[in-house]
Amino acid sequence: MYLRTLIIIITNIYFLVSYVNANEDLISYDIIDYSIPYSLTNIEGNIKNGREVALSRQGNCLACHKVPMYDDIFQGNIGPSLAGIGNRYTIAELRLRLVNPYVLNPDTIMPAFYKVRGLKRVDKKYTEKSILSAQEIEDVISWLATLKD
Amino acid sequence: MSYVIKCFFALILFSSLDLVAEEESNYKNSEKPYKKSELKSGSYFSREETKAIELDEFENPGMIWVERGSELFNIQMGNNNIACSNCHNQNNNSLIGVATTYPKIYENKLINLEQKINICLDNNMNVEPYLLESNNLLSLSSFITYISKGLPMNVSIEAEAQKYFNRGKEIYFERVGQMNLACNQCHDNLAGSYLRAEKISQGHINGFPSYLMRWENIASVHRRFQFCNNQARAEPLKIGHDDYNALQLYIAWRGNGLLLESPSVRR
Ligand code: HEC
Ligand code: HEC
Repeated sequence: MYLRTLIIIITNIYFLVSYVNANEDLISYDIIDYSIPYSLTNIEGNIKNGREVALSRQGNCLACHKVPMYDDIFQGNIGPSLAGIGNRYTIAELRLRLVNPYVLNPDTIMPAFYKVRGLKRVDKKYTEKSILSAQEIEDVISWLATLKD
Repeated sequence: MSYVIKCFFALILFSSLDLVAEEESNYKNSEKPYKKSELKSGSYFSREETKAIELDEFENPGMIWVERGSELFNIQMGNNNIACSNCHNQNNNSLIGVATTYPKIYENKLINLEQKINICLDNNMNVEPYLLESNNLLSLSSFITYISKGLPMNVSIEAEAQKYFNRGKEIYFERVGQMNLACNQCHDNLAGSYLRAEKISQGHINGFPSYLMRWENIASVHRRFQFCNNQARAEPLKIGHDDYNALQLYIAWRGNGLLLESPSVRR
């Protein structure tokens, strides 16, 4: 009898914790006028770290985009060049373009870097994980904002 | 009714059936991403150095598998002491052209060439089938594909193959993985563009089994699918999976008419 109650309590705690965790994973945000005006973390983006994430395999932005000043690295040409991107978009617009570009173009090949729902057959290593964390998004967009002509 | 009239009706029936079948495949052909004249095999997109290695049979590392396959083809195996060449005449090889038609239906199921070889080993030679993707199996399939080199891909999507074709097409257009990518996004829409240092091809399979320099190994079509799935951070399927066979059929059909080039060499 005791054992049964114990098991029920433990499983309840387990489900509660996993529910809280799953929700904690992604911070909710509002999309206003094709942009996300508010920081996901309220911690100012770190430009240096943002550059590192973008250029490394983690963000892998150069697989698809050119950034002229990093000519020494192999760069793809699937997406538009990021040269002068800081002139073309505000931080708020850049945030949406990284967090969920499907809002602008549902067919785009550009991945949503901050999304875990609605994806199919995700490799176990990556389930319930977004490609970048909220702070990494803030870091990358603060770096993008420095790319001015 | 007289025999002649019956025959007459049967003839009309048959010819109208034929018409339906033809219309169907014409309709499907119009759905192909690349018209026959636009089809380009993978080597068209690969680097000059890589292409040079592929074209030189003495340098092409894939030829090691072809040679080993040719030896295996003539070795007597199992209790019955029987070799592939006992049934498939070694000199005037009866398997020339066969590779262009796989994957194909066998006993109501779609199978690829590797699986067909295993069925022969098991049923006709009483030999334990090889593990999928094993050296021996890929050697045999490389050899059997090599003897069809230069012949056009020619898979059938009619009759029982139809449902696999539909499934394969579904998979081809399905976005998967953390990166949420589908095959068509790269291979129909972006052929010729660069994904980092890699020029994206039309994604055909007329060069498989294909030697991949990054692995220093030969790879089956399914192994390549796993690799593309991995890059989208999608859970790859098992080699030999029905869904991979279905995908292979769809992709082979997309490239029907391309000449077999195996063993191709890729980075
Ligand atoms: C698999 C390819 C791919 C990857 C990886 C990728 N992008 Fe993109 N990106 C695109 C494409 C394609 C577009 C064009 C938008 C569209 O398709 O609607 C785009 C658009 C953008 C835009 C808007 C550009 C404009 O001029 O409108 C920004 C900003 C951007 N990407 C930044 C990034 C950053 C930063 C990363 C990495 C953290 C990244 N992208 C990774 C393919 C990619
Ligand atoms: C993000 C882009 C991308 C996606 C998505 C993708 N591939 Fe590829 N694929 C590549 C690149 C890059 C190569 C290597 C260059 C080449 O041969 O095209 C490649 C190679 C291939 C090849 C070998 C072609 C050859 O001639 O050697 C096949 C076959 C293939 N892909 C099939 C698929 C299938 C099937 C899918 C979906 C399950 C898929 N690809 C998804 C980028 C992609």
